[in-house]
Amino acid sequence: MKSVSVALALIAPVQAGLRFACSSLTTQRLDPVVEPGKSPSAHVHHIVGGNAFAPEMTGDVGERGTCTTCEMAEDFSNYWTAVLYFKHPTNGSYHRVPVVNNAALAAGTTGGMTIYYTQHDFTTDGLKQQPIRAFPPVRFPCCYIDVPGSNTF
Amino acid sequence: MTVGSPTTSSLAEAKGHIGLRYNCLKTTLNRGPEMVDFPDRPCEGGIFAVHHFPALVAHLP
Repeated sequence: MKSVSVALALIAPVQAGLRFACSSLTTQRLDPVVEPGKSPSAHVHHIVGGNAFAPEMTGDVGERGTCTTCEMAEDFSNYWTAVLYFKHPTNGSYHRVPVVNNAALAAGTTGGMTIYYTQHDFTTDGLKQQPIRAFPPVRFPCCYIDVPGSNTF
Repeated sequence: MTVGSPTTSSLAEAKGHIGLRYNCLKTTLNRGPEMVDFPDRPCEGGIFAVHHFPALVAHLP
């Protein structure tokens, strides 16, 4: 989650891509994809994105969200990761490792992620086979997408 | 869409989750090599955790 401001160098000709920063929304034992409705979930997660995040999410999150911690105001997707803990070598206690946010976010921001939407992968341009669509509606249960040919989710 | 698995406990298993990798940052510009496992030494610039989701739509098992 350590973020850096580096231009993404693609070997294939660059035709499209998206990179944006999100600050932390919350850190919770919730996972609406793997354990929908279970509160608390089995694992701790660091969550960014739209304010419609909930233990169980159904339908189109874009219809319910009104704001987001991400730079893109057009989308209310959520993204979450596992939380890393450091185990003290002598007393065995666990300490949550702080997350360094993207430097493009406002000064004083603590925690967050950098999100990339790329072509087929970092080195292959699959746009002809899989055209990128900006923010297609994503409906839970994840990750059904109702836009054929889309390669975002 | 998910990547990795919380039950992973061996390097061999971790290699199978190709979307989850780590970089031991020397600086914010020098990421060093991409690694399957956590760094085994302090990383001056922090640990860069990459969650590379597949491009194709997939349903959870």
